[in-house]
Amino acid sequence: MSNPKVIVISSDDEKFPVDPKVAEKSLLMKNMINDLNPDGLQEDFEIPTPNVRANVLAKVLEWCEHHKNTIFPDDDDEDAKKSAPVEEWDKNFLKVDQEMLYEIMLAANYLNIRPLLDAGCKMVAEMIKGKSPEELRRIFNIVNDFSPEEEAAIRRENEWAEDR
Amino acid sequence: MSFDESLLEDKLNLAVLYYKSCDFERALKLYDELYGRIARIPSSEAKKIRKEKYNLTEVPIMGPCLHPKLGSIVDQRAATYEKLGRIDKALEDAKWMTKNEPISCKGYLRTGKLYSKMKKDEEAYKNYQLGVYIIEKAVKEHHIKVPEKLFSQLKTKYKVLNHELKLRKQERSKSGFVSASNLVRENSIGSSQSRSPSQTSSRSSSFSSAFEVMLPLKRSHSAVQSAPTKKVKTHGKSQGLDPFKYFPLDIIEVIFRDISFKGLLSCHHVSKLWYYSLTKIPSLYTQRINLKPNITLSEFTHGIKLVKRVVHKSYSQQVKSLKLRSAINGAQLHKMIEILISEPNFSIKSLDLVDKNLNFQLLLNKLSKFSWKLDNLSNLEHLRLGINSSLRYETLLFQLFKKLRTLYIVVLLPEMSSSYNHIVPTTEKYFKRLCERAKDSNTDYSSLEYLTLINHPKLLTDESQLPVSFDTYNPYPIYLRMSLPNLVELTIVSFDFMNWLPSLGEFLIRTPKLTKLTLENNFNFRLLDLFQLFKNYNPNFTLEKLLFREPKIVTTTTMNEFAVSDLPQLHELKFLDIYGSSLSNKGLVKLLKICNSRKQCLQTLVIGNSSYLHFKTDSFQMGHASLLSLGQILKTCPNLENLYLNELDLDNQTMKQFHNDIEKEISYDVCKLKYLDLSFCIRIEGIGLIDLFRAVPSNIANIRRNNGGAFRLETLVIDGVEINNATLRSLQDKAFVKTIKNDLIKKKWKQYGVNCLVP
Repeated sequence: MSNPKVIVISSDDEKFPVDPKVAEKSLLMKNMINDLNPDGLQEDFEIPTPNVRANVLAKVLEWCEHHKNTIFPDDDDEDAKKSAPVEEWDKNFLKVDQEMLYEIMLAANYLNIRPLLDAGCKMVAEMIKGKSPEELRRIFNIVNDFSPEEEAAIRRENEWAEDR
Repeated sequence: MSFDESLLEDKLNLAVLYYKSCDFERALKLYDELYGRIARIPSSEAKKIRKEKYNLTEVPIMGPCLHPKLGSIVDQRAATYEKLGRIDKALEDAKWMTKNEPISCKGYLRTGKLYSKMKKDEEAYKNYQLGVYIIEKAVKEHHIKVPEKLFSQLKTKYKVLNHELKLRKQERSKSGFVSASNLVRENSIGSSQSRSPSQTSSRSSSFSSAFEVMLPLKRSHSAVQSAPTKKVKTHGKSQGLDPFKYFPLDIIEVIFRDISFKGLLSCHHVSKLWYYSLTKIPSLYTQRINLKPNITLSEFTHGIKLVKRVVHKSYSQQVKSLKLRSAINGAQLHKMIEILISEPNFSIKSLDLVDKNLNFQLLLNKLSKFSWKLDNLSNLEHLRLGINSSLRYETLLFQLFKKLRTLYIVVLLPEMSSSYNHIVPTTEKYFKRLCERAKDSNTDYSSLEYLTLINHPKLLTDESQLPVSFDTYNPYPIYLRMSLPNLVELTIVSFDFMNWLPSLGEFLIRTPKLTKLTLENNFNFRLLDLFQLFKNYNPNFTLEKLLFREPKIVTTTTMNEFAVSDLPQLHELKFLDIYGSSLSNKGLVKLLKICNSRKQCLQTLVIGNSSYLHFKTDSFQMGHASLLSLGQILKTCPNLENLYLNELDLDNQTMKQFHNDIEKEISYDVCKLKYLDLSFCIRIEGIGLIDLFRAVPSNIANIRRNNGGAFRLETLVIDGVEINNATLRSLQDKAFVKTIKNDLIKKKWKQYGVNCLVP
């Protein structure tokens, strides 16, 4: 028999068979695989992901496949993560429409794939960086629900900060 | 035209009474009259009434701006029509409601009821669905509250009718009847709505687009713009989705970690949802509370208010870092310090205070004013003070702040005539007790790990006319009598060490954990003195980093006094900066041998601007044996990666020789050099750089053909030297150097220097 696979099942019941190595990029799946198969995988192992739709899951697993051999820095190493820009491949990979980007991030959060979530967060941060509130409202389709008085209060509240 | 609101109220009540007593005709007449008068009110007037009389926002979240009572009138009139059996008229009014008060449940409930009465169940169903969709959307986007009872009634009606229609459809299809209607769906719009708006829209696009047409939603850009969004969506794109509606706070936190503090505060203005979500994440704020320069008291207090509100949601309830650059004036600075001391529940972990009116004496004064209340400052771990005169009562600092890990004192102004001692509460009992304790306790302060003391260079005896005394100024290093057993990093700049070198020797014996030592511009303190201290006192630490910059150079330092095995403190040195040193060629070579005698750790070497250091230009030079060569340096320091040769007497010939050395004595693939600084070596020209890399066509061809080795760098810095741009570009194009910095405007080489901290 060939090597057993992990079969990830999306919320809409689509099945994605992948190598355990690929699935283990998700700490959630890794823990499930290890906890439920203490002696190693003997046969195909199904993992349902009731929060993730098939098209999103496909993207997430594509990312895991690409990065199956990548070693990511430790979670504790906040500084390294903060300064590191998004890798070129990830950047292109995440050039999807906003809804898909958000759903990938939510899925990465749920499946506990920290580097994917971080890359997504940086992409969203890029959308926000250096924009005025007015521009941000336009970009994200937001209605200004402050009264003029409230706006003035917030302005006062913010006047103390350094311009950097 | 102003309308008497209380009269309106009375008439409405009267109409309700007519209705209740089944006198529907009179009720109707009254409603017609009221409607006629109120509906005519222009929206500008209505805005005012909404705000002034009913304390509402000027403009409703959705729908047109009308008099706030108009909805009730129309709704009640619809009920009256219904009672009178004039269903079509009732329906007209009910529909008016859904259109003009789209977030009120009443309109939908009545419209549905009327449709059902007319046996138009599908219309009723559509209407309920619309209501649930609109109201859920409004609740989500605007955080409004709707009457729960009515809303759940609406949702129930919607569900029940949905179920009924489904059953009917099944029956019909069983009986062979194919329904053309595609109204009934498995998924309730309500539940899929919570996932994502555009998902809904794609699933039931016919509905939502109908909604948008039916509802000219005011101010609600989302609704207006979601129409084009949908169009884009069909091309596989969806944009304009508010991340705050999608993500839990922990993801929002990661996103905003990447955004500057100013940017974060600017995001407060976007919407209530953004504001309230962001201020729920203390970690975004408490690490970096940097007050702007010349801050006024009012700005300061507003800032403190916001910070307090945010910090109180954190687990530690502590301000992690607060920086005050300068206050607008002295009087307001006093008030700010008082607030920092006395503000309830405002514990600070790291405090950075810099102001030309500040000194430790002032802090003592203010602490005494608040009866030595240390609630906010007793957990202080990092303290940085930029003060206007020499630090006095310095040992009290450790008595007051017992947990300090970092202490950083910069004297900003060359104030000599006043010590500000008169404001110190010397007669106070508590103060006296503090002084006693400072004297008594065996001066052991074990929490301190980083100590930086920077004096103003004009406060040195050489330049001053005034005598040194307790009431004028202090040019001598402080804290040397203390014992700081856990000190890791020590920086002392611009002090006078006359007669203090033995104390420093003793002090260093008591700091066995020291790894980084920076001594710059200290008077009566030469590089040789430091090494002699190390030899004579033999402190038990091993340094990683040593920066020593001598102020005045009288004679050369040859290091003849030392053997290569001496000075074990330097044997694991990774970073050596002796910019502007007095070392001779031989002295440098000896020092490098000492540093690399055991572990060969040295990675960075700064020997710029050293007047006694000379490199040889070619092998046949007169007396070349005593000159420095790059080959020798790299052989002595095999792990050297960064080399700073700025402001040295180097020329094109030296560059050529550098290449020869690397090729013959080191070999290309062994050389670890990555970073070379040749700034302000003004005799170097483009040709010299080409020779440095041997970037000539024959060699380039050779490298390409034979895959031969080459000398390459990651970074070359050559500021303040005019070099042809094309030359620099070709060096980069041919991959000899990744980055070249060539800043011509730069006047002075400043790097690592604490000297940039002193005015």
